[in-house]
Amino acid sequence: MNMEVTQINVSEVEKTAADMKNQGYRLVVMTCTPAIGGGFDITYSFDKDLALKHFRITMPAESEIPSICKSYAGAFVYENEIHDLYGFVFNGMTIDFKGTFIRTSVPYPFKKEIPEPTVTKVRKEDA
Amino acid sequence: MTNKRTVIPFGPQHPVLPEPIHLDLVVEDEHVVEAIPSIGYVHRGLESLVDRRDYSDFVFLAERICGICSFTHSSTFCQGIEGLMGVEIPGRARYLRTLWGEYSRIHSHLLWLGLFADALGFESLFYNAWKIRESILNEMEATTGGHVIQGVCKVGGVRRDISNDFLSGMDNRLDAIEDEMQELVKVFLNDYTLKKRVCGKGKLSASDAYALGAVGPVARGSGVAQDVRMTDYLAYKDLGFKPIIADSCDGYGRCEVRCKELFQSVDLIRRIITDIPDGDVSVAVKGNPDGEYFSRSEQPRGEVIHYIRGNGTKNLTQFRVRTPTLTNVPALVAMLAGCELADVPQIVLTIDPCIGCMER
Repeated sequence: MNMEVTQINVSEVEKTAADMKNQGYRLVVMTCTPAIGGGFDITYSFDKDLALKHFRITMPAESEIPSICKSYAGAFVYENEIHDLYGFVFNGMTIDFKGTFIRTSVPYPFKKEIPEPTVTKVRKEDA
Repeated sequence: MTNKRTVIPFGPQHPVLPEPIHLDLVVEDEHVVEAIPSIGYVHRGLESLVDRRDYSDFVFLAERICGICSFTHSSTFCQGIEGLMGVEIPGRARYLRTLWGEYSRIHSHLLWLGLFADALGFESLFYNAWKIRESILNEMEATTGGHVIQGVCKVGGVRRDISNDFLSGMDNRLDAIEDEMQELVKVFLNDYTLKKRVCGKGKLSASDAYALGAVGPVARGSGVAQDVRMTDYLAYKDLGFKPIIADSCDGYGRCEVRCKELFQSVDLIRRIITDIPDGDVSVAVKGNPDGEYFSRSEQPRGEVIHYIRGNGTKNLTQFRVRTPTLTNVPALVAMLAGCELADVPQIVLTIDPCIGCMER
């Protein structure tokens, strides 16, 4: 279950998904996380015979990304969730909720890059 | 027959829904043409707390993602941290985690069977399912100290051991529980009225289940042998696990899988009690996690994913969870298309939706 991730370009997303589908892989999850060097990582995870494969694109905030719903119709739940929490736009989703899949009081609440430490630090001189 | 389309809102408050999910049901006369789901009523943003808590304390938060699969969430999170740090937990801890995981599966399936019976109007069946569930929860409380939230997992193993004498007692008490479950399951699998309500309803073919990413009893009820317990995590590699499947591809198949998994879990628990090795139940863990890890386990509702990323400090930088209900939503949408309006409540229930878990 260790992660071996293949970095791909956004232009390769649809083809990669189609290839995975043709090889009989199941879409496990799409995970969005802030990237270490800035922007966000979107990781596509697939499974076949209980072995996992991960592909990753790194994108600046609010980018447009092609949907993989043509290959995996069920991807709409992950794409709408990533849109509603992070603000990415997925083109070509089978069901596009236009921001109403997860109704949050704050728009795109997870759209923060590498988070600042929020733990209060007490210095010796403050004590 | 008018063939005029109407949109009927289903939920977020509905008698069969313990938690809120909304479905816009597009109907033509009494037939559902399309179902459009929306969630977000109980989104808590638990994952974003990860950078504010020590990774070893975050186990308690991970456990509170769900009130039913709480134990599996804590063990999956610990498994992820241990994988990231290269920590190997003692054999006895692996077996104990497996044992509590299987007890969780039994109480979750009994909870679902009770809710399902209640939704179909079988009140005493509902009471009986939950009565047996209490016996399972009592075993959990006696061995962990917690009735619903156990708090027994920690990074490096488990907090409590169970004495071999107590394990023998658990084995004996399982006999009575198993007999009660046999009586209960007979009704679910053989009752004429109940079968009329589920057989042939909510059809999901094996190819659709796989293509839509269905997991757990939803996939296995459609004949797809997908179960994370077939990998070598925890003690399953020693127990020689084989998944239970049904090939009716309908609500009855999903119910049948859960019923049979009750007894499969009992068998697994018995083997654990026989084979559990002696020794410590935890190892000391030093240092902080650095890197990323993809931890997965089989919850009662199916495969759960915990994605964990650390940077060598005591706080993780990223934590994302994919629960089985979220990935079963596309399968639910497919099941509802073409069904009769009156069948919607029980079809929704057959995926065993856990909305709090799904939204985190």
